[in-house]
Amino acid sequence: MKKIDILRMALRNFGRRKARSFLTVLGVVVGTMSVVVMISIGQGLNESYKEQIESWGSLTQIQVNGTSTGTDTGAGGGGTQGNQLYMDDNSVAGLSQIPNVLGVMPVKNESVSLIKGKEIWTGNVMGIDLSKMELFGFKTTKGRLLESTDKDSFVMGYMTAFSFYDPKGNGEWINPTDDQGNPVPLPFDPTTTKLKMTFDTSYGYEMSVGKPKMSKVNCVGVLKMASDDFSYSILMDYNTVETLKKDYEKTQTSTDTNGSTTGSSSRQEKSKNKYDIFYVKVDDVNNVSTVQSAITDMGFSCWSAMDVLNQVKEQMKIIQFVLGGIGAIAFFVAAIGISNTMVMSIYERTREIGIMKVLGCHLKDIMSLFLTEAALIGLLGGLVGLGLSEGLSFLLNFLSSSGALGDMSIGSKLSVIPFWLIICGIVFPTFMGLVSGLYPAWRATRLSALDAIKNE
Amino acid sequence: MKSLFIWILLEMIMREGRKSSPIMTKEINGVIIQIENLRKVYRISSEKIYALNTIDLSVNRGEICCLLGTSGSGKSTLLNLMAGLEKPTRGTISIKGARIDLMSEKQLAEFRQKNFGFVFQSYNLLSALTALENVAMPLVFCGMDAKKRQKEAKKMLEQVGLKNRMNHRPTQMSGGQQQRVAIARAFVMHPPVIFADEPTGNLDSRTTIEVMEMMVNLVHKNRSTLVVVTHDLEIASYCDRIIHLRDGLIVNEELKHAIPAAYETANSMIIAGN
Repeated sequence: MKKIDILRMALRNFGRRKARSFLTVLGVVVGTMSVVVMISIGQGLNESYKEQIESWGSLTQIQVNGTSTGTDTGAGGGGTQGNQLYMDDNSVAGLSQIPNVLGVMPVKNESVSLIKGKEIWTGNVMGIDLSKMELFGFKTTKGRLLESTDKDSFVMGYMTAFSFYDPKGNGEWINPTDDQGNPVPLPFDPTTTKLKMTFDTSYGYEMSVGKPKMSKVNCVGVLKMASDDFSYSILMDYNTVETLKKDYEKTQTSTDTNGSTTGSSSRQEKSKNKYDIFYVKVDDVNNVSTVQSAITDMGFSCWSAMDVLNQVKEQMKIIQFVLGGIGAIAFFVAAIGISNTMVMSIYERTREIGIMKVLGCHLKDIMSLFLTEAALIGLLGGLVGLGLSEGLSFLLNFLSSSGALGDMSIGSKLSVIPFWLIICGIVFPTFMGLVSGLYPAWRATRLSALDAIKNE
Repeated sequence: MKSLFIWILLEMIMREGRKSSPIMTKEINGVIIQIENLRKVYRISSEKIYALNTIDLSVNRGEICCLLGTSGSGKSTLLNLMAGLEKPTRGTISIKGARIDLMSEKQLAEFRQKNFGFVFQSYNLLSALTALENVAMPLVFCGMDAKKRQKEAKKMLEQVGLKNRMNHRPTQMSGGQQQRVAIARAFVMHPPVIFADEPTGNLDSRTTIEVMEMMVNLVHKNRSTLVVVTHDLEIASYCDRIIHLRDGLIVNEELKHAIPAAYETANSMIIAGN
């Protein structure tokens, strides 16, 4: 028998019992949908987590928070003074030597207050190496990045611009993002607003004592929205911060008689640790883990968004497995449905099969005929199920983005159907149909032709 | 399910063995069907029932042979055994020199496809198919392409006088017409042997004559051999040879157009064997 004839006959039989074929296909449709939608939700969660983690900082960026080893360990490697490891220029040089590292940006954090009229912002000024700004991909939403010729200038983090408030009044909180998580216009233009800065973070509050030294500073730009550390800080040239700090301290020691001893001792200890944080830029996402372990081996403690992402990925695997498992149950039921339909169909067509056998139809062809029919049910169910899944996925995404399903601030899409899932959604049900059809098809070939034609 | 896997396994092992099984012998002197010492025993609980007991029979090429007998005489069983639809308990059946009693299901399917045509009492047409599709069925099984088999089936339907009934389904046709479709189907492959089991059992006497004459004509035209099973003497009158069966034994053989004077007397003469 020719393949085309087998297909034609299978199609005809499929169309003969429309209601039953429809119901069986429906079973497969539901099964396919449940698997595809469940997995797509898993995928969607996965991707939105990734998106979220990326917004904490680039995935190719490693944050070195300090030295993990004590003074007595002999952790080797560049950047050590003798056997001692500090957050200093030697370490920067050492870290830069690690393969696949594009660059290291040392950061010195200082607490400051920015004053805009009556409103105050208190937070971190990060003293950075200006030459690395481009490498680390800083982008401004307003104004420009810092240049080496700038004097007493800074770049403001996006979130910082929204965090000014009047400590004596009832400041109104402005949400930096709208309902969809998109940025809203800045409440004021920092590049044209007059701003003052002081290292006395108690300024403007009730416990503030005396008048601290104010530095005139100039904002040249505002960073694009992100949720990393930079976004909540202001960025300044390392040397500028140091100079301003020294100026401030000079006035402090002369006016403030309570110049605390603890402060100076901590300063002394800090003196060897010139920086607070190193940001290490890696050339590729796939190299982050190796670079990270190299950094750890050198004796630093570090962290990257990849750490969290990997953890989340592990958890997502479990979630996807559970979701997929729920879908698989529906799928399994559909498979039983196909088997049942085919067995019923054989009972009904016993005589027909008998006639075919008497007329000399090969067993192989009878087998193929029933297998084709079962596979067709699977294929059709898979296709329709996939189509409906795409629709459902679209609907879910629409509802979640419009906020109808509550606050889904985790990401842009709730359900994502990747290409491989589409392929699986077609191949797997078809294969399942084939497997479900195996037993009925075998039964069909076993029917006695004589008994079959006697059956009236 | 377990038996399914065993079956697949056995099928693979058997495939090799079957290729060299000794089922072909030589056809001798124009004898197309050669039956020797044939016995078929059915077991109903502990009781043995001899449906056929020691049958020896040979049918010549081109002969129209009638197996005549009352119900339970074993005539249908004999036909089923000849057509390979059942396996004998003992004895040999050679058709065209091939031992069909030794053939596997698969080999039988192929052999039937090429050599046998069937006409049944209950027509056994596929109700979902049109007359044309029913007639083309055996051609589908042997892998003929659609255009060619359409042509062949049309030609055959024209020969049985159903030119304008080609696209009717069996349910839209009379019994006589359905049987003519079945006859067309039986002859479409031009097989050397046609088996007809009570072909006119469901038909009125006028249609019976029509159908029988048509079959005999087609058999002569195709130079086929026809084996008819019937209990009807009128049918038997169309045959070259009439073989009387009773209780699983051949009791009498008559030659062409020698219509027995009385069926009863014929049956009372118990001559076993030839």
